[in-house]
Parts: sequence; C-alpha cells; structure tokens
Amino acid sequence: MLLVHEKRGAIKVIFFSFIILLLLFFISLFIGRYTITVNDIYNVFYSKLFNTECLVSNMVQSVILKVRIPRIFAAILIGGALSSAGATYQGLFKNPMVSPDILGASAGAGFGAAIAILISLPFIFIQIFAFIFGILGVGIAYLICKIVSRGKDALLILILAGMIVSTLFSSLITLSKYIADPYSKLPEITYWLMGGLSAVSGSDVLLLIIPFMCGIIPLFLLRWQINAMAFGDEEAKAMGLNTGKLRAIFIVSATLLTASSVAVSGMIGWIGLVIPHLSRMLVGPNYKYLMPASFLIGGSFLLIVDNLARTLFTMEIPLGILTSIIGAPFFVYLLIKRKRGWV
Amino acid sequence: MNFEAKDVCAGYADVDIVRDVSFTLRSGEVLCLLGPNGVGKTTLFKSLLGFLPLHGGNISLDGKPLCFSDYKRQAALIGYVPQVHEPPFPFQVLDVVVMGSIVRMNYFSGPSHGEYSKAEEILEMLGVSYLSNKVYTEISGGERQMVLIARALMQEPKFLMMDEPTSNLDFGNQMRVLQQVQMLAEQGMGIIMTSHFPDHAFLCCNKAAVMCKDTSFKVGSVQDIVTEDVLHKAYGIRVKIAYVDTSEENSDMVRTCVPIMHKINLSRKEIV
Repeated sequence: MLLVHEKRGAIKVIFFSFIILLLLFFISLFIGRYTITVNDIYNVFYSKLFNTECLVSNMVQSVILKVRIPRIFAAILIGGALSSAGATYQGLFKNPMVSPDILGASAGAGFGAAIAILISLPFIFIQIFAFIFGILGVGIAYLICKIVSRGKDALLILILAGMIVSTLFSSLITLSKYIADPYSKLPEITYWLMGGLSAVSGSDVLLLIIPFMCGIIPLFLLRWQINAMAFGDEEAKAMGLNTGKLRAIFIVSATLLTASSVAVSGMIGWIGLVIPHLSRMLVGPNYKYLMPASFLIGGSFLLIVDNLARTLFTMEIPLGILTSIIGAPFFVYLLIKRKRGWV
Repeated sequence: MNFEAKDVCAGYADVDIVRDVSFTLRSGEVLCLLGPNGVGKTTLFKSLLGFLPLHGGNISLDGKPLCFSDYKRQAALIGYVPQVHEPPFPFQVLDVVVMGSIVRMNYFSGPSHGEYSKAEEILEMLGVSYLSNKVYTEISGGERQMVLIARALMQEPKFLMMDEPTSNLDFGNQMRVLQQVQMLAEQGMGIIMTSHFPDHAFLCCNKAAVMCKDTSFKVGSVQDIVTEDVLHKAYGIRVKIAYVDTSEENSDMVRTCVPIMHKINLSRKEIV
C-alpha cells in the first residue's frame, strides 16, 4: 500500500510543480521596469486570440509580446532542458555529481560564440556557432572514447574525454579573449559567457524550439529505461537493453538540449546539477517521475532566478552568476537535508 | 533445455584468458564454477553472457547458437544475477525488481500494473515480500542479493548465471541464497554459479567445474571434480574431504572440505 502512496506523492509533486510553473508564468508577465496591469494583459491576449483590435498602446503590446513572453518561455525551456539533460547524464553515468556540461557541450558552445564574436558575425551566427561547437565538443569526446576504449570501460573514458575536450575548449576561449580587442570584443565575449536572457527575442525562442523538441521528446519517451542504465552497462544488457544504441540516443538528446540552451542563454551553471537532486528528493529516483519533475522544477527555478536578475538591482545581473550564487548554498542545504544515500 | 558451451576461448583484446572450455548444462542442473582468484572465472562468465566477444568456439541453447545482438531474446533465455553492489540512486526495491520485465516491454513504455504485481509475487516466493517498499540502498547485502535474484527471475529465464551469489554475505544469508538456488533448480531452472567455497558445490550443485592457473578446465559431477587432489592443484592448499552425519534432517551424509591449516607452511615451500 505504501508503494501506491509514494507514487501518488510523486504525481502530486509533479502536478503542483506544473501549477506553480503556470502561476510563475503569469506573475512574471508583470515583473519588470515597465508597469503592466492585469487589464493590459487581458486585452492583449484577447485581441490576439480573437483577432480583434487591441485597446492598449503599441508600447505595452510589444513589451508583453516581444520582450516578456519570449523571455519567460526561454527561461522555462532552458531551465527545463538543462535539468532534464542533467538528470539524464546522471543516470547514464551512474553518478549524481554529473552536470550537463560534463561532455564538453558548454565549453564548446562558449568557444563557438567567442569565434563568432571575434570575426564580427551578426548576432544570429553567435547562436548558431555556439550550437554547432557545443555539439562538436561532445562529438569529439565521443570519438575519443570510441578510439580509446574499444568497448571496454566506455563510460569512464567518455567522462575523461569530456574533461579533455572541456579543458581544451576553455583554453581556446581564454585564447580568444586574449587576442580580442579589449574595448569592444573582449567585453562582448565576457558578457556572453556570463549568461543571460536579456537579449532573447521571439525568433530566438522559435529557433530554440527545434533542437529542444528533438532532444526532449526521445528523453521523455525512453526515460524509464534510464533506470536500468543506472545499474551499469552489463546489467542493463543482461536485462535486455541495447545499451550502446540507447546510450547514443540519450547522449545525442541531452547534448541537443544543452547545446541549444547554451547557444541562446550563454553559460548557465548549476541548474543541471542541483535541480535533478532536488527533484530526486521530492519524487524519488524513478525516471518515470524524475524526468517530468526535473523539467518543471528546472523551468520554475530559472524563471524565478531570471526575474530576480532583472529586478534585484537597477542594472541587470548576468544569469549565470546568479544561478551559481543561489545554487551553491542551496546545494549545501540539499546535502545537509538528504536522508538516504545520494538523493 | 540444453545449454552448451563448446571450445570457448575468451579474453580481453588479443589475450586469451579462458581456453577451450566445453560443458553442457541441462534445465534443473546447477553448475558450480570454482577456481582461485584471477584465473578467469569472471571472464568466462562475461563471455557466456555475451558481454565479451568470443575468441573462439560457440555457445548454444538446444543446438541453436545464442544471438547476443538480440538483447531481449537473450535476456528472456538467460538471467544474470550480478554480485551485490550499491547503485548510485536510492531506488525502491519493487522498482528494481520490476526492471526485469524489460524483456517484455517495448522501449517507450514503463512496466504495467501486472508486472508490478508479478514482481511482488516473486519477492513473496523468495520469502522477502517485506522488502518491496524498502529502499534498495538501505537494505542488507543478503537482502540485496535476494532482490537481484528476484529481478533476474522477472525475466522468466530458462537459465540463470549467478556471479558469486554468496560473496560478502554472512553465513546465514549464504545458506539462504543457496537454499533458493536449490529451490529454483528443482523448479527446472538451469543455474551456473561461481563460488569461492567448494562446500557450496556439495550443498546444492549437481555439477562442478574447476579452473586452474594453467587454464585447464575440468568439469563433471561434483563427486568427480571436487576432490582433495583437484582442490590442492587449484588452490595450492591441502584439503581433506569429510563426511558429516546430519541425521536430524532427512538428508543423508553431507560432504564438506576442511583445509589443513598446520600443513600450509610446509606445502607452500613445496609449491615454491
């Protein structure tokens, strides 16, 4: 009977996370420098839905539709994507200390963005370069693993390869900073790396949607299998899983999520590590519940942090800094509160 | 059913660790694999399960060669009980057991309610139904071993491979696990297990195999294989096999091996 009870608990947590996320979505519409009333929002939505003439000013309309809504969506999608990717990698590598940038996606994306900024490409190319280099980074790590391991100790070597690739790309980022023009390019690269959603537009979100869907759908469909993968390659194989194929699918999906997130928002740390832990405390380690919980809680978390980032001070704080400042003590708190093993 | 390994050679990279291993095992038989540390028991085990590619020979079931690339079919025929370990996440015991139903699932679904009740039945059969709501990382080693056996049974395999099912268990739990091995064999399961204790072969096995450092592999009935000479050759210690009368039980005389302690120093010199 307790089992049924626990599962209901997990479903309850997921349901409430969803409600909280919805509430946060609406609250976030009102948060910001420009004051917006409930009436404004009602009018804008009403006119958009029924294609009638809008009663509020163009200014208000564009603040809601072109600034706040894209930003809110970006925060939810990126928070959810990083958390789901983190949860996946943790299961895959049988290690709760793993975060989504373990295989070099973030460092690669950072270098891609740095190159695009260095050669003065238009803004959209910064994102495209970041995305491509993020994928490239993980691709190189995977290739190194294939060459070195020949099927033996693949997981360990993959993590080592990811560390090698991350270090390499981090050095290349530093190099590009070093040779960048200190008055124009260097600050641009530095700000990009700090992460933030202030420049997000509607088209960015639409661009993010495609790789995001390609990543999140397989993860959600196959999520139950990660449970068995967390018991290790051989056991999962003996239970009937094609571990090589599944691992490749999971890595590609999680990498798509990470690289597309980093491409839009810059480097945002901690979410992919902390949120899966928090979710595991709330719903348990079964990925059937852990994956949706991680996604919803991750989305809410980044949305809250982003709201803080744009309202806390007159100057906007880079998101990457704030997630770390909030994430680090929060993680310590989770470690103190944990009851059983590595939750 | 007939599990047959013929002239199996296996190892890592280009090195053969196991050479020319042949044996057959019928349903309902228990084979105990003995041998000193580092002799390649685990390697042989991994090749029998398809974790390592064979360097030579073949493995077949009822004359049909096993297809290791079809993971689900393979898992429906052969279950694997690994050594007790600790997974990184605190899964619920029932969730661990139900993972054995992957053989009957498609990749996109989780286990059904039916599979959960089946998992509970199996725990009940093993006498550990009280575990089902516990957390796998918080139970004892003996209990974990039972859970891993239950998970393998969920696959409804015809043969079971148990890698040192008694390692790290206390005396009582060792016997409890062996009792289950015996019970499963009586229900028609073919079982291959490795052990460090020749006594275990006497207690619940019909067949025994001994691997030695010179890659020789001997297999046969327990009486023929677990002898004083063979154990001496395999482990480098002198052993006496004794018969103990356990008349209060309805079983007959039980054999046991007793290592001869005071002669170890002398015999060690002989070996060196």
